[in-house]
Parts: sequence; C-alpha cells; structure tokens
Amino acid sequence: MESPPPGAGGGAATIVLRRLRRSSKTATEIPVSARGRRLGWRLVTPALIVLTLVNAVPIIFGTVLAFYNWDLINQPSATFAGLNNFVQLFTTDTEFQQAGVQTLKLMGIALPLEGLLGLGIALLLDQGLFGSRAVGTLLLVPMTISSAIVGFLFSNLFDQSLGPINYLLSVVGLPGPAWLSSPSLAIVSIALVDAWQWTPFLVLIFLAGLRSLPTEPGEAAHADGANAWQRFRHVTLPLLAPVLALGLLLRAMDIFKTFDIIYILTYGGPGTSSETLSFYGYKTGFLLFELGYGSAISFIMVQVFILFTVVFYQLAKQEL
Amino acid sequence: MSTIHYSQGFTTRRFRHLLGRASMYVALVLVAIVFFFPLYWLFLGAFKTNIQQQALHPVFATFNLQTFSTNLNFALQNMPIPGYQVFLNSLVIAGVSSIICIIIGSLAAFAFARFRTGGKNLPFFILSLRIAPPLTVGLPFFIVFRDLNLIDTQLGLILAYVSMNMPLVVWLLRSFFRDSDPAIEEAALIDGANYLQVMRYVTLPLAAPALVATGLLAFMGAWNEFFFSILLTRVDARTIPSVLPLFTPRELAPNEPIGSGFAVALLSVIPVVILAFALQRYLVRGLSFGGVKG
Repeated sequence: MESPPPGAGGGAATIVLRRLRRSSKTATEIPVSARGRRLGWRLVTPALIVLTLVNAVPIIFGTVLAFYNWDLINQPSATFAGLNNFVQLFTTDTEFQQAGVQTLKLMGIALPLEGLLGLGIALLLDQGLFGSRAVGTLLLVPMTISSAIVGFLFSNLFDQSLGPINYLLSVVGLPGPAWLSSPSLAIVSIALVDAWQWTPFLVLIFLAGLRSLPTEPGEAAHADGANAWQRFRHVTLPLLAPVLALGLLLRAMDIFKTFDIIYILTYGGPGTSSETLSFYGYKTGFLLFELGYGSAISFIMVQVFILFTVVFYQLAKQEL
Repeated sequence: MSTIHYSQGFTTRRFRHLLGRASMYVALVLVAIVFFFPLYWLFLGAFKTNIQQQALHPVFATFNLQTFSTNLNFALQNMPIPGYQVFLNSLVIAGVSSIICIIIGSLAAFAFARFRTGGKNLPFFILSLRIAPPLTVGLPFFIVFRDLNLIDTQLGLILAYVSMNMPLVVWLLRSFFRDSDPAIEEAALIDGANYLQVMRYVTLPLAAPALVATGLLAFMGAWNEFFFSILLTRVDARTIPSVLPLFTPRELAPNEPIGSGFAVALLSVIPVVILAFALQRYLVRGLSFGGVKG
C-alpha cells in the first residue's frame, strides 16, 4: 500500500486546534457595581498586607542587599559595594561559574529525560491497558513525598557497595559505578533522582492533555491511511505541543532551583562538583555568612526566573 | 489481489497487533517496577536490622515489627528534642500556616474572581511571587528573623510557609471561584442579600470542598518543606524533614540502627500519601499552578 504523504491529516489538526483556541474563552463576565468594586478591594487588603510583609519586602530587601558587602562574621553592618559583587561573580569566581555550568548540566540531563519518559509513559497509560489505572495512581506517590525523604532514600539506594542498584547491576554482570562519590557522575545521579520523583508529574499533565484532545483529526488521518507513527507525529504531537511546553517549563523552573536533594545526597560534593547555583548561594549566604554576595547570586537567579515567568504567562494565558 | 494473499496479510497484521500489545504490557510492568521499587525499599528499610542493612546480598523481603519499633525508638530518642515534639512541630506549623492562608486567601480569591479586583495583572503578579527561588526570600528572612528573635521558633517557620503558600492558595481558589456558577449568587442578591451575606451563606459553603482541598495541598507543601526548615530552625522548632539528615548512614555510629531514619521517613510519608490519594483530582492543578486543569 502506498503510504500517505507526510502531513496527511495535519491540516485538519491545525484547523481543529485553531478553533479550540478561539472558543476556549468562556469567562463569566457580570458587570461589577461600584459597591462591588469597593468591597473587592477591602477583601483583597488582608492578603495584600500579608504578601507585602512576607513576600515583597523580603524580595526587595534581598535585591538591595545584592549591591552591598555584608560579611556577618567580620562586619557588624553592610557597606555599599555597587556592582562589585557581580563583577567578582562573573570575572574571578570560578566556583560560581562552575555552579552555573552544573545547573545547566542538571537541566540538560533531567529535562529531556523527564520529557521523553513522561510522554512515553503518558501514551502508554492512554492505551487502555489492564492495570494502567493502578499504575497511574502509583505514580502519584513519588511527587507527594518530601524531597528530603527522597534524597535520604536514594543515598541508600545508590550506595556503592551495599545499595540494591549496584547489586542488581552486578547480577547482570555490570560494574556498579560510584554514583555519588564520583565527581562526573554525582550530577547525573541527582538528575536521575529528580527524574524518578518528577517524571510522574509530567505523565499526569501530558495524560490530562491527551485526554482533552479532540478525536476527529486522528480518525480523519486514520481514514486517510496514516499509520500509528504518522498519526502520532503529525496529529497528536502538534495538538499536544502547548501542554508539552507548559509541563517542561514548569519542570525547568523547578530543576533550576533544585536544592534539597543535593543537600542530602551529595552536599555539593565530592568537592564542589555537584554544586548548583541554589546550593552555592546557600553556601555563601549561610555557611560563609557573606550575605551581600549570597544575595547577588540569588539576584541573578531571580532574573532567570523573571524570564521563565514571562514565558509561562505566554504559554498559559488562555488558562489563566 | 488473491484471497490467500489477503488472509496472510491479515494474520501478520493480527500477529503484529498482539506483539505490540504484549510489548506494551512489558513496558507497563517495567514502569511500575521502576517507580514502585524505591517506595518498597523505603518501607523495607524501616523493618531491617543493621545486619540486614549491610548484607552483601541485599535483603529484598522482611517484616519484623519488633525491629521497626527498635529503629523508631532509637530515632525518637536521638533527636535534638523529644521525637514527638518534632512531629508536633510539623503538625502545628503546617496546620496553622495553611489555615491562615485559606482564611485570608479565600477573601482575596473571591474578590479577584467576582469583582475582577486588580484586573488580570494583580493575581498573576501574586502568583509570580511563588515562582521566585526560595533562596531569594530565605536570606532576608534569616537576617530579619535574627533581629526579631524569630529564628528557631514555630512562629518564624509559620511566617515562612505563609509566604510560600499564600500566592498559590489565592491563585487556585480564584480559579475555583471563577469556575463556579454565579447564578445562585445572583439569585441571592436579587432576593435582597448583600455581598457579604452572599459570600457567608452561599459562596463559601458551596466552595467548601475546594477550600479543604487547597488547604490540604498547602498543608502537604509545608509538611514536606526542607529548605526554610534547616535555614530558620536550630533545635526547638525543627520539623521532620530537617531532622532526617541526622539519620543518614554517614552521620550514624557503626552500631546505631540504619533503619532509624527509614522509620521516621515512613511515619511522615504515610499521612501525605493518604492525602494525595484523597486529593488526586486537585493534585495536578495545584502542582502546575492551575496552568493545567487536572
């Protein structure tokens, strides 16, 4: 049989997608009276006061501090430093630059791994196999456990000589690596743990996305003779793209600030080989008590997060 | 096309279909094993003696309540404060902080949903406060709390968790209020009730399940939180996650039970897992800031 040209059914899919997007806005718009407007502001006030005190003020304070020198051990008060902290970070501080590289490496490993596994498992659970509901429920558990506990658990699972993972590897004749104490492998192990805990999150998001897709474009492509792979590649994937992007973005934001698992699994080690920006910021701020310098690191991280937030807003606009 | 040819094609297709189904089941079982095994290992560890923990051929099945209680007792007696106090801290801090979030947050969320107070931008600005890395809030908290003597107090950690959860609670409740039908409220308004009465007698009772679910999500977040807890507490206000590093194998003396950390971990996991199953419907929504409706 002649295989249909690539893109068969893709046209139909795009049209449906566009129509879906147009009709997704169904906000309940009731006119608001002047009294309602006043009452609205009164109801919001307590929350705004609390958020100002415990969120906004600390963030502003931290931002200001980034431009000061404040070594809590040697200096009773802060002195203005201008851009010195930032100059030092980007020119002479190799540990900071290494932490930046490690953070990117962690994202580079964990994000594709979680994305591919997440999509694969979501498609698998969508086949209506016996037992897939039970597996779906089981997948809820990892992400509801404290990351402190997950770190604790995996420090045992990854143990080089006594851990079950290396034991199972030795049973099939593979040498068990030093998961946590090898400088090159430590960051990979952290990525694997993150994937264990958070791939299920992507599975659930992608699954919700798959189930909300219209069935007509797939059926039309089927009638046109597209095989399963072609239907996936040219119908499902484009339709699912917004959900994929949103899920991966949420993971990227979280992986970027990974701290707990590193603290317990490797404490940034061996040496400084698994230090990420979060961990290095914690170290300078709370172990070395260089408050200004630590704030400068967190300031840089916030700039990245502002970028993430802008993208998130664009992606999730229809839902918000 | 001859009949024979057709029937051959039919059997190969059927065979390939079966093969596909079979490999899918293999994949499903693999997925189940990979995600279940570490959980099983956590459970198992709490029931192991040190000899079993350090066996060259790892022990893959054991269940001994006596060992469990030995492990747990060691942990409870070797915490910086009495063990029950740590659990109590977790309960009080997570509980009080989520109740504050729900009470204050629901008022704001109602206004955002019904009166469109602050338009679209104020609610999103509030959400974006949540997205900031914890370090950004943690450092200033640490500095201010030192001056206010709030380090190592329950109140200090409660404030930190209000800061962590309030944006999310406001955001989620706003979306729940927005999805609910305003027709009943309008009927009450026409009958002469004022907005506050409508909220008190109509909206909030109808939203009770969403309020409880959101509150429990906030509770789970605070119960599991680690970073603020190690940062802002020392001894008296420690919560479960922040005492756990004391019981990693490298911190324990050779004769002390390795299972002690497992026992504490298991005990703290059980309530959140039960909550998670109860909240299945809301979980994805909460974890994705409502960006994906589960």
